[in-house]
Amino acid sequence: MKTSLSKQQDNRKEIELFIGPQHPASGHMRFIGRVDGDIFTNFIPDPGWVHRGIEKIAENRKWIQIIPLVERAAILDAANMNIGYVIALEKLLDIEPPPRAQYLRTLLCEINRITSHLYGFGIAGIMIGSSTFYMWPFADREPLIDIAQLITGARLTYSYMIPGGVRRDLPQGFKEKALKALKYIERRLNNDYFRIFFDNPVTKARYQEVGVLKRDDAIRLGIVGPNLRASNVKYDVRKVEPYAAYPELEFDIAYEKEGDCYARLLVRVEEIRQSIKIIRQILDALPQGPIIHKKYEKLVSLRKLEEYQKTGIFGLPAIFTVLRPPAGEVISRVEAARGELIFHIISTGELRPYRLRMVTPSFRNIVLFRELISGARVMDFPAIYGSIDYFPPESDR
Amino acid sequence: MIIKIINNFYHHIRAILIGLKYLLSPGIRITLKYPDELPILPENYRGMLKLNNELCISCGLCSQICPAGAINLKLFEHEQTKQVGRHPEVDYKRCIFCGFCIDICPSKALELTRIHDAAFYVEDELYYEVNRLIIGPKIDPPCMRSKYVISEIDEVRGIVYRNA
Amino acid sequence: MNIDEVSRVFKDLKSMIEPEAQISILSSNRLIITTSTDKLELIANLLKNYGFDHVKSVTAIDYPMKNIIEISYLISSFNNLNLSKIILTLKTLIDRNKSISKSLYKVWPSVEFLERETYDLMGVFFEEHPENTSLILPEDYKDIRPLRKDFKLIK
Repeated sequence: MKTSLSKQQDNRKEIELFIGPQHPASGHMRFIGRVDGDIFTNFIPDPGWVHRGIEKIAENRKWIQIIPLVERAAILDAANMNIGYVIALEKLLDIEPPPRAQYLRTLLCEINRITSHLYGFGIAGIMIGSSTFYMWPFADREPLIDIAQLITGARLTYSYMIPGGVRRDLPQGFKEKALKALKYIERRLNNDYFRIFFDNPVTKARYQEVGVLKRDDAIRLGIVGPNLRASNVKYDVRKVEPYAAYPELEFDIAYEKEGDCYARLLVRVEEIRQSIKIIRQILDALPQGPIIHKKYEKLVSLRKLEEYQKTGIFGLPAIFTVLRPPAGEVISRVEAARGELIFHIISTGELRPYRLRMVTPSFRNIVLFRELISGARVMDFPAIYGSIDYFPPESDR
Repeated sequence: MIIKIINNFYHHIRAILIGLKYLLSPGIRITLKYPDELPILPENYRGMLKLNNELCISCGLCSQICPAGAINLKLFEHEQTKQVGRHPEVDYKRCIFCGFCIDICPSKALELTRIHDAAFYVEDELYYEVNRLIIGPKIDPPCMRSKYVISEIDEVRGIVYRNA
Repeated sequence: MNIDEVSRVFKDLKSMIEPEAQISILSSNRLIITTSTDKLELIANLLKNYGFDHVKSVTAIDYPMKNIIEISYLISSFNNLNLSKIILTLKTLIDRNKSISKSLYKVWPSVEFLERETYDLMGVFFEEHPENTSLILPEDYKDIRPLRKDFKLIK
């Protein structure tokens, strides 16, 4: 299609518009559009500029080494990528992490969901020309990244979850710091963000009734995540197939009925509120106990065990270098920040997976570019792109 | 119609006012004034590595688990103690700072430092041989007036930086 | 979802698709239907009418020793919240040398980019797919497709 498009020169009324591939917005990505006047008559997304071949590399890595690898799909949503893979691996190994580990995992996932949505807001803001709303959410990620760094020791690439549990316990005085950060972000979101952006008539004029995705179309195209929920489909993996500590936590599915760009943004706002609610519940109801499965706790050296009991940092047992899950097939799904993340793993009982299939939410949303932008005006393109919250590295893998 | 215009006017004014508020009294400064200010990172920050060769038992688990293949083992004889062992060498061109090597080390020979500024003048310096790994990374402050600050989370201002 | 409901769906599907296809249980909430390539579209239509409305993933697995490529469609539902708790795997085996399969685009439009990616990275040609062109690889890529097992990463 890419080549055939440039060959079709018979219709002289239309011109071709190439957008990208040098980082047009949230990442390296090319779009090929045909423009008639101000209207896109055809619009083709062309991903693949940041393809790293995670699925192929994974076939050449040990099971434990894939944990940092899958995070690289979406660096700003690392914890959710991580938990999807670890859940799949745990199903193969047939182990269940202790409750405290489940809560800690959920905590990090929700912190990550907030930071990821804020990142999306920033990109959406700069795309319709609001540079203030580019700076604010990007800056306000920082307190949350800071508290994630307190838990894991890294800003973005956490590699926090391991089969059987998590690597570290919470440090001293974490709860106070986290509550402060939540209060800060809540105030900014509910007051400042609404005043300067979401309630701003300029924003509404750009977003409302633009790029409308109807409910049936969303289902037909297999859209996921906030984009699906903005079209009035109440599908959230955290409710449909609860994992980690989600069955014990109280939250609502954020959804909107309109299905336009503005609705997609509002769903993310509501999701941040729900995430804050979840984190507060976790901090209050964090169960005591070990952070790693008993089976692995026994396997670390005495020195490491002492350290674990003293500081809460669990050393990896040596068996992780030669982890051989039994042969089998496993499918896991989790709700990452941008939608449903699927891992389909085939194990043959070897040191490395036989096949690892990773379907990221952005890849499933890519079809939206063609569906929503064909027929839209040229200046609606940035508005629609920003509202989809598409992230090319996540899509390309 | 008229209500809509008034409503729009009201929200325009609100947006301008909140922008003015942060323009005139910028209470929030999230960014760190690097290199004038250098952060003191939290205790368990996953930075560059340091090797304690007396504790190293030459098991090689660190090189086996390294997801990026950054750790090689090398036969090493300590100059003073004449202790011989196969010790790790780290290639920071490959290292992804996941900290798996530190966590899996059964004798706690590898430890964390809080230094993450892996920037060097020469490319070869990124490869840490055993004797350099034993000394550990050392970073000079980037300029004369650099001072260390601690970041603290604040309810009103997000993050505040206090002098250490 | 309780076991009863999964087994009810399992029975329904079993009576619906047999003897053209075989159904088995992988684990709780995960069902597998195996069928041949020419019956694929028929079964897919039956499943769509039953309420499975979208495809989550198209996974192609290369088995060079057996000289087959296994294609799995992971299917579920958004509309029917009972069915959405199940992930159904629709499996078919194709010959590795020819590697031609039938596209399910007409049944589920959501397979479009997933099948295109499978064509691109695994070299499985989907008949009747609207666009069997490269998605990720360069347009003039002629080498072995990267996800095949005989494509080796340089060590």
